[in-house]
Amino acid sequence: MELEANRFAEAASRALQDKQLKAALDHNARLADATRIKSMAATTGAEELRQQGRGARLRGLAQLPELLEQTEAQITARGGQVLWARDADEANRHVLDICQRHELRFGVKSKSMVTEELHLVPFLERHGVRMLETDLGEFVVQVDESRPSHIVAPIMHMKKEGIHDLFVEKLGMDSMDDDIDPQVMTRFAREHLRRQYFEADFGITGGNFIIAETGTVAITTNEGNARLGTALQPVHVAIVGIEKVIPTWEDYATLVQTLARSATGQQLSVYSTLYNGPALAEEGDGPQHYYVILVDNGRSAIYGTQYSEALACIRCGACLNTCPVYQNVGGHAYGAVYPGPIGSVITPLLTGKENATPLPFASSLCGACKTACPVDINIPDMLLALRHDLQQEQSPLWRLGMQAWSWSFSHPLLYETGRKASAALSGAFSGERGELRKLPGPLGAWTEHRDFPPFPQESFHDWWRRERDAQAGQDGDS
Amino acid sequence: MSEAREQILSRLRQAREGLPDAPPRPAQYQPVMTVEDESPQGLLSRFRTELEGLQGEVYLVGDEEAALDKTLSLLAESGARHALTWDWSHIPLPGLDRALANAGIEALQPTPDNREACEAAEAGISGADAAIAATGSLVVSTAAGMGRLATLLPPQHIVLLRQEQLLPCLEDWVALQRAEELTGLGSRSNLCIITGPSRTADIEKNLVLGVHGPGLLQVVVVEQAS
Repeated sequence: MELEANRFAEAASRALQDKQLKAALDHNARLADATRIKSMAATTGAEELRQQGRGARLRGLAQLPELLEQTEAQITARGGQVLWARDADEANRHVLDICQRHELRFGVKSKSMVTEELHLVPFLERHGVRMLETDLGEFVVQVDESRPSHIVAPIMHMKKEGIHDLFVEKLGMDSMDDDIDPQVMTRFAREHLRRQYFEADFGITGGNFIIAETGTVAITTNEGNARLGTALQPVHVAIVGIEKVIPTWEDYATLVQTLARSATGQQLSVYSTLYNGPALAEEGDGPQHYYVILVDNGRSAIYGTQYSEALACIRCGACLNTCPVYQNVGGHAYGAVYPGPIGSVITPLLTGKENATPLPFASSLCGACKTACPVDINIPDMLLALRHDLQQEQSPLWRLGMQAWSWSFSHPLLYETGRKASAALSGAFSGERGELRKLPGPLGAWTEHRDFPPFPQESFHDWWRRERDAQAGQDGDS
Repeated sequence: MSEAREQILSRLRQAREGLPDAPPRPAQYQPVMTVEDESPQGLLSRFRTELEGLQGEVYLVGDEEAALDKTLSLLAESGARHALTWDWSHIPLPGLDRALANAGIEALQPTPDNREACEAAEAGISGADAAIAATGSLVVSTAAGMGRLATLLPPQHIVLLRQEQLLPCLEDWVALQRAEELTGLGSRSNLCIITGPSRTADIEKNLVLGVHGPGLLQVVVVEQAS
């Protein structure tokens, strides 16, 4: 993953100045969050269902190696082929091999976060295979030559005016002047894409779940683009992270409904499509060749660690929509494929903590993400653990300081002496109310944006001693 | 066996001890959406409420003759002259082929060789494996003479359904498959649970219908003989 995650602070500051972005996020993210909350409120036993969904994901993870083998056996038995990829390069090469084997030149693709993570489209295009994004939001992003800013709603950062201008400029759509109609723009995109579905010779999809007992790859869309992008083309390649496996169809029934509610507040997405294998004789459509690529790309290194639970994520985007940080800075500021709270956990884990040091700190730890998560992932705890890891790994000075602090805390006399010295010294730097405007040395980072509170005249220790003595005096009188 | 496969699986096996405990599989799953009144009328009424809420259309007809009339009138309203269909044996409405021909509507069953004609069709006509009342969904699957395009490609999709095919919730449909040891699922190359017309809200959360799939989803339900 090419990353700018280490420039979060800079990117976030820029995002906060961007009035267009603010208007788009105020509308889109907050509305998405409100819709989810409304749909949850209308559900009886919502917490039990959340635990049922969580159980399904955790059972999937607990039996992951066996379920992956079962998946492979099922798909192979139906004439599909399963390929395994340890990293992005291996996954991309598998796709390119398939393209070369079947002489494929042009593919239609539905929305898939794992293919974003692999940078599959630029890879294929470098090798002379043209790819077209068919999800409306992803299509806009492709025309704009930018990046999705949300894992469910890729153009959450855009207003309709920006999309209108883009279509007029790059695709020759007739300008609508002041009366911009999303309906007309969507119809324009449909017409533009329709012909290309017929010209494409393969379709690429991701996978929301794999149901191990039948080896079924499940994909949900609202537009129908994944289904159409695998109905007309002779080859279908599904690219799925290894963590997406769930044991049974009952688990699927729970999770597919959970995903829809949390992502968009729907009871079910419009097309919950289930792929078992290549088309059978006389179906009249569907792919003759069916490949499933199972992608590791850093997942097995998370598996079994204290961050395992992050692998249970179903990519609904609820934690993004509800997060006060995401709501203000948007997805691009995170400089990562997976933005928002869950992204701040998995980006450092998938790409190396040193490549995303600011992300675990890009959170107020308010806990809204955990509350919103449909499978109850403890995101705040994992963010804290990542902060701890980062400090351990990266800053010997900080570690030394913390050790000194903890030592002085456990030695009252030393603590008291230090406090008195600080209080006395602080007089020299303090403002009218005793507050400190500027701390010396590395402590200055604190006072860059705020004052340090004044030291009290009387410490708790002194107060306690005084009160205790007074109390003892009173008790003696009675 | 590939080296990648062996390496991934062995990494997972070595690391699994650190995983959080998974709760056991529930003996009974709690359905996500339920239906209070599971009588045939109750199911139909809920199905209608849900699907109409998504801007789909539901028409109840008394018998097959009325279903033929309704289908023809829906096609007349949209002005469709060409319809993609499943093989007649998979659509629960005998006489549909003749009725379409008499009305001057050309019926076409998709094959890999007639794609251009398919592209021009204004309507698709299919049956369904089942319908889910709680979510207003239709389950379709593929088999010989039962492809994807009739349910997907044209802007109008007419589904012919018998009232007996209505189930309360998605979990009930899964239970039926389980009772057959999933053989029904396993023998299909593709299934789809369709819940409303194709839609997007990508542009500022504005709802727009008919993005890549049909914007018009019309279900003609033949009433259950009582």
